[in-house]
Formats: sequence, structure tokens, C-alpha cells
Amino acid sequence: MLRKPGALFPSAAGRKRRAGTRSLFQNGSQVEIGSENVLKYIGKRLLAMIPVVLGVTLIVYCIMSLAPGDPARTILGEQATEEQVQALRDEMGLNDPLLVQYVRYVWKLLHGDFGTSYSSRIDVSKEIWSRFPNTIKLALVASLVSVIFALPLGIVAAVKQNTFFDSASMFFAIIGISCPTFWFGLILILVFAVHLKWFPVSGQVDTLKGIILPAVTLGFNSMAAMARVTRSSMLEVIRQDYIRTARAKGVSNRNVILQHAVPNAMIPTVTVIGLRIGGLLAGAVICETVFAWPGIGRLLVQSIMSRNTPVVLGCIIIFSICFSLVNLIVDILYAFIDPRIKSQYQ
Amino acid sequence: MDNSDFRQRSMFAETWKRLKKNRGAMIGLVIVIILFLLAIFAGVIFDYDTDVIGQNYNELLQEPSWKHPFGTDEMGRDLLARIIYGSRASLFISFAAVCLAAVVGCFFGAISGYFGGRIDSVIMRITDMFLAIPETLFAITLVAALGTGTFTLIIALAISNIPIFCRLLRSSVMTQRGSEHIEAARAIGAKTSTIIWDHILPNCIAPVLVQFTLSIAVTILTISGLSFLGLGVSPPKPEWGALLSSSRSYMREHTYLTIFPGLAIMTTILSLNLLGDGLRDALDPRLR
Amino acid sequence: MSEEKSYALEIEDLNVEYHVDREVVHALNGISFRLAKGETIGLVGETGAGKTTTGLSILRLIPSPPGVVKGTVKVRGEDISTLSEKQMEAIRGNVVSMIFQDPMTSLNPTKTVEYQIAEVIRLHEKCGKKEAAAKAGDMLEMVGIPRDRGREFPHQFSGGMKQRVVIAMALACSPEILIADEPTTALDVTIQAQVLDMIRELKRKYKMSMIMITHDLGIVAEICDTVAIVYAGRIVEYGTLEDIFNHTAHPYTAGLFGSLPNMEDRTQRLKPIPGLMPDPTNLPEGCAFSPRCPNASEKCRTQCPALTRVEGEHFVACHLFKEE
Repeated sequence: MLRKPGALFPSAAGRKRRAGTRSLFQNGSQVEIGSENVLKYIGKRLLAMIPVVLGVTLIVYCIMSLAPGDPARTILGEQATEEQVQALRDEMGLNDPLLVQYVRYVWKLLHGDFGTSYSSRIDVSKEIWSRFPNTIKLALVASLVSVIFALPLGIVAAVKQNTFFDSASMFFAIIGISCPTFWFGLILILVFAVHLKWFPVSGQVDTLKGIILPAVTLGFNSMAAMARVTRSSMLEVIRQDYIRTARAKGVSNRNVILQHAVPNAMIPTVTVIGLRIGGLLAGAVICETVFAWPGIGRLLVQSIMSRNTPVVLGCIIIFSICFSLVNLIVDILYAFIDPRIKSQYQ
Repeated sequence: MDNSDFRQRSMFAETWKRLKKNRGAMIGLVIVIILFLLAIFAGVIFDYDTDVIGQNYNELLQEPSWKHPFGTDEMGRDLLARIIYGSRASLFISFAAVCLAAVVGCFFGAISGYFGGRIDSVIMRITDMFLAIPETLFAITLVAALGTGTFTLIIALAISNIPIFCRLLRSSVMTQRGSEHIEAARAIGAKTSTIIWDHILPNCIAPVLVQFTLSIAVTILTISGLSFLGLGVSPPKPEWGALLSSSRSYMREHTYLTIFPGLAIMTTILSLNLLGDGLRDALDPRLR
Repeated sequence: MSEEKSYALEIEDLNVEYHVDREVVHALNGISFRLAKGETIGLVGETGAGKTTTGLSILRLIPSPPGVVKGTVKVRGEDISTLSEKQMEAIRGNVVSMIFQDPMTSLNPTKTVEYQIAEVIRLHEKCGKKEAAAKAGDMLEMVGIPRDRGREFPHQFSGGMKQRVVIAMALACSPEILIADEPTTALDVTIQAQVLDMIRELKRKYKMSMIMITHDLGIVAEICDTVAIVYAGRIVEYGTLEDIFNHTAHPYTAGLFGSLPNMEDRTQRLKPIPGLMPDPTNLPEGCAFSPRCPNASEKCRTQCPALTRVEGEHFVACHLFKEE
């Protein structure tokens, strides 16, 4: 056990840190020290995110450039002469090598410019930014709903392992991960909007009533998945030695769970929460279509149908950046929950 | 070698024994097998041209009855026949995609995990990028660029599944590589390819198998989602998501059109998930 | 009456079974012993003999459903099975505390070391957070760790340091009974001696009664007053250090000594005990040691021997002994 390098390394790191801690003790609280390190950590993660986002845009850009049809021809219509089309192609830079076009695109993107829409000739950025808040709203409410229900469900199921509550909630959860988002949405509409008339049939961005069905639809799947992970990591943690130690200290059952087991169980759970919230963004595409929600997911589908490549490209890139951001936030949260991660970055 | 062969066999026997005890997994397995048989022998039960795509204006939108257990759709086609034929599309595309992904992903994962170093970091950076695009979104991108079609779907779903298998195999190869029986094999001078094939890969089968089952489930969900959006399998070919999509206009009066295809998807995914969970528990009894 | 009061701990016919998958694991099969105040008893046996289970039973920490506990455990003359969960919590860590076997996994990785020590103090001594933290610092210094390291997390400590933390935690409320479950097994030999010295020192200082759970006869010789040899969930021999070491009565105890290298005669071969501990789901009908015993008779295989007095406080559970 002792000879593992992993066991020796932390103690070395600990010594290093101790030196730092002592000097910091003199000028105040340790929170400041912590936040400085966390900032460094966040900076590192942000830097690491840049090549990933660039890579994603490159992949998406290349794929989209495979799309058949000539954008210049699409804009000018069938009547235009070949010369006119070529002229516009030159103007749009479509005759340049792909990589040049990509660099130009990214450069514009950095200035918040997503190009011009083929069909409406409106600024794509305007179209995207006007709908973006709606998607964010939906995704946020959905994630909130799913986390709020998933964590207690998973924790209680684990604590009451092998009871009726456990099997019932886990059955509910496996139904949840097996249920297609759009079907669940349709069923909710049928039951709560058409028959019971509690909620509007299509989503409404500005009312609480209007967001409930779409958010529940979008969050259901993630909630089920999070509840399952929470339960299994709780079960894993509960049998650890330090839980027994806590009990042997006289900590009450409730506090053993809340103060000792839950923080540790959150470490793997947070990863899955992050992944699920990322997946939720993709689910938004479907959910927005079911509820006619005016977000970028619906815009994306509509643009694909109308072959409006710049908008499609913009939407997908926005989604991917959001996804990476969520992952970044998860990584940072991770460092807060698990002290072992934080000390790696000091 | 004989010894490891024996250990392999006993491991599978042991897993099967534990799997048999898991009621959920067995139900899942039975349903999956039934679904497969139905998909394979769909042609024996129903005639594609008359029952599945043939329109019948005498029997439009009929409620479920003995003749049409699941009712008929807006063109008078038997819903049961369409759902059963629909499973062909879902199962074929998802199997093809996940198999492809597993082979390619495992290949790169094994290389990455075994050799480490620069190869590893290059492969890992690429998978990072692909992992940064959610599966559904990636498929949508490819479909948007290349148009709808079975082949496009397979490629799109395969590519988005590759990173998962790559990561999985990499991490299990890395744990294997450090373990003592590999050190021992290297010490007696076994060739690299022998070590990978005979000593490392057999021990990675378990997690890959579990991931395979779960990936199939997720992929079927994605396919139906895409078809629902009109980006997957195109009509008149039946597919579950597409069936649901076309049922939307008749949802209020003809609820059964919405309920049955959804139930078909859910049953399939549920049984695959039950099987996958059961497999994972059977392979790793510690987690029970 | 007065005699009963002088015991810190009395265990009477303790049985623990685990019901798992339609099988019954017989972890403890009627263990009885008493521990006088300030005395140290050694529970000696192989892995799986039920030593840790005994320790956990005293804290009433056997997880049940799977576990079923029968028999009585009296702490300070009070039967713990009659206590409420709240009363039991007040005993754990305060009257009886336990040092667990593996320091690597016994500390919560997400809490600072100081928090984990202060927690016991906060729970049992009505004091504020600051006071508890200060006292936790004192405890750390007592076990030889600088107090400002208390703000660090367990992963920043080495194995020996972690064991010191665990010991500090167990002693923070000066318990009357300390259960030390193989406190040195997971440590390097050099650190083992340090930790052992420290435990002995602290025990003297606080006048604690102690149960030393170990498989190491060397530790027993150094620390214990009385010894109970445990085999397959039963005490097979019980007596003072002198009784066990110099008047060994049970063949299993003799076997344990035979497995030790002889320091005087290094050419002498070790005499390992043949075979393995019996499967606790399927214990033999008679004496549990009979399948491995070199002198087992027919009676040994069919009848389970009871503990009988050899002389004074020396007891043994063996048919062979009676026949002598």
C-alpha cells in the first residue's frame, strides 16, 4: 500500500502546500488562498477548452462544407447567369481553399458575426441571439428540475436499499432513461394540455405555466439518469471505511448520510450531471420542436429543412460551445468537491 | 495459454450464472430476442408492399380491433405491421453503427492505451473534440450536410459512438498494462501483438459488452429522435420516430397512433437497459 | 455487585450471523469475556476469525438487515441492546471508541483532518466549533503532528500520519474503552513500533481499558495483560499473557507460536498450521479446528468442546486437554 507512488505523491504535494499555507496564515484567512488557486485552476481549464472548441468548429465547418448545392446559386436563384454566380462566389470567398474560409469564419465568429443567412439575408447572429435566451431558459429550468428531483431520489433510494421505495424509484428511473423525449412530451401534452387543460398545448416563453411541460419533458430523461448515478455512487460510498469511522465517532445516522456520504457521492455524480446537462442541450432540439418553442433548437431544424447552411452552422457551433462550457463548469465544481483534484493544480 | 482459456470460459459461465439470477436482465434478454426474431421474420408475418406501405382507403384511422390490433393510420395501413417493420430500421441501423464504432473505437483505444505517449495524447485530443459535440447534434450535422439516408445515419451514429469505446478501451488497457500478469508475459518475452490479443483484450471484453448494449439503446433513441424531426429514415419507410411524427396531426382523436409506436420504442430501450444493467452487475459482482 | 462494577466491559455469549443470499455466515459463535478497568485484552486470530466483528458489536455497528446479533454486551454494566439509538450515539466515540484497521480508507477524503477530529469533540463535549477546533489541534500535537497541518486533507498525509490522525480521533474524548483493530497492520515496520509505543503511552496516560485486535503475537506480548485466542468465531483459549505464552494449552495456539520464526535458532524450520480456516457458512460439526488439528480424535469431529478452566483464569476449549 505504502509503496504505491500515488500514496507518496500527495504527501510531497502536501509539504509544498504547507509552506504556502504558513506564509498565508500571517496575512489572514485561508479562503483567499483557496480562491487564488481556484482562479489558477479555472484559467488552466479555460485554456484547455480553446483547442477543443476550435477543433469542434473545424469539424462542424468541414462537415457542413460537404453540403451539396452552391450557396451563391441558392441566393441568386435559377435565373442568374453563370457569370453572376461566379462573381458572387468570389465576393463571398467561396473559391478560396477550405482552410482559408474556415479561418475567416472563425475570425468573424470571434467578433460575434455568424455570417449572413441565405434565405432571409438577415444577419445570422441576430437570428441566433434573439432565440438563444429562450433555449437557455428552457435548459436551465429543465436542469434545475432534474437535479432537484434526482439527488434526493437517488440518495433516499440508496439509504433505503432493497426496500419498496428503492425498487419503485429505480423502476421509475429506468423508465425515465428508456423513454424517448419527444414521446414523453407528446404524452404530457395529451394528458395535461389536451385532456386536463392545465397547461397550454405549445410552450410559452414568458409564463410559468408555459415552461413547465417543456422543461419537465426535457429534464425527465436527465433526472432519471442522475438519480441512478446518485444511488449507485451513494451505495458505493456507504460501504466505505470512513463511513464506519464516522458512525463509530457517534455521528447520528442522518448526519453520516448528509455530511459524510453525500459529499463523497457527489464526486462521480457531478460528472454525470454535467454530461446530462450537456445532453439536455441536444435534447432541446427535439423538445423545442415538440412544443414549438422559439429557441435555437427549432431554428436549427427549420434551417436544415430550408437548407440554410450558415444558420445551421451557427446553431451547431453555439450548442457545442455551450456543451464545452458546461463541461468546464463541471470541472471547476469538481475541484471544489474533491480536494484531491484541487491539490493537483497547485 | 490453456490456463487463460479455462479462466475465460469459467468467467463467462460465472457471469451467465449471475445474469440468470437477475430477473430484470432475463426479462430484458427475452424481449430483445423476441424483437430480433420479429424483425428478422417480419416478412413472413406481413407483406411489405400490401401491409406496410400499401395504402388502403377503406380502413382509414381505424381504432384497434381484432383485425388491426394497433389500429390503422391515416392511409389505412396496419400500425402493428408498420411498427414491426419499423424495428428493422432501428435495429439494423443501430447495430451497424455501434458495431462499426466498437471496432474502430476499440482499435484506437487499444493503441492509445497500450503505447501511451504522443500517440495517446493525439488520439485523446481528437476524441475530446468529438466528445464535445453531443451525439444527436453530430448526427444532425452530418444529416444536414449529406441529406437523409440509412448510410448517412449509420456513419453519423458510428462516428459519434467511436470516442466512447475509444476511451473505455484505453482506460481498461491502461489498467491491464500495469497489472502483474502483463508484466509476467512481457518478462517471458511475449510479442507485443500476443500481449495485446491474448492477454489484454480478453480482459476488456466485459466493459465493452456492457457499453455495447447501452450504446445500442441510446442509438435507437437517437435514430427515432432524428426521424421524428424528419432527419432520419424517410417515409413511406416505417420507423418508430417517423410514425410518431406523422401521428401528431391525429393525436387528439386517435391517441393510439401516438401511444403504440412510443411504447414500442420504450419497451425496446427498457429491455436493452435492463440487460445492460444486469450484464454490468453480473460482470462486476462487487457493485451489487 | 462490587465485583461487577469493576468491569468496563462484559460480553456474554455473543453470536453474530450474516444472512446473505440464503446462506448464513456464522461470524461469531458465543464469545464471552470481561475486561477490567485499565486492563488490556488481546484478541488474537487469523483473518476472518471474527475479531473485527467483535469490535463492531461492542459499538453496536453490525449492519443489520444482513447481520443478526444475539447475546449481551454490557458497557459499564449497562446492556447496550436496551439502549436507544441516541444513547448509543452518545457512547460511540465517547465511552467506547475504535481505531480501525486501514488508516488509508478510514478517513473521509473530502473533510479536513481537523474537521474530522473536531467532529467527535463537538458531538460529545458541549462546546463550540472554535473550541473543538482548538482541542483538535491539541490532539494532533499529542500524536506528534504539527497543529497547522490540521487544515489539510487526508490525501496529503502518509499512511503512518493517517493512523496517528485516526488515533487522535479515537482518543479525542478520552474514552474508557479503546478498541484497536490491527492498528499497525497497514503500516511499515518502523512506523509500527512508533504507533505502538504511542498507543501504550496514551493508554497509560488516560487509564483506558483496551481491546487489542491483532494477529501479531509480538504486539500481544508487548501490550496485553490477558489474551483471548479466537478461532472461527469462538474463543479457544483465554488466559493471562503468562498462561498463553508459557503454558500454551490449545493446539491452535501452539500452532500460532510454531508459525513464528525462532530468533534464537534461525536454522529451525517454521511449522505452519496446515489447511485453512473453515468456511463460516459451513462450520464443522465438532471442534472448528479439528480438520487442521494434528491430534484430533473422533470426539473432536463430532462434539464441540466448551471452555474449561485449566487453572486460575486460564481457560481452554479442547477435548484433548481434558483427557490429559
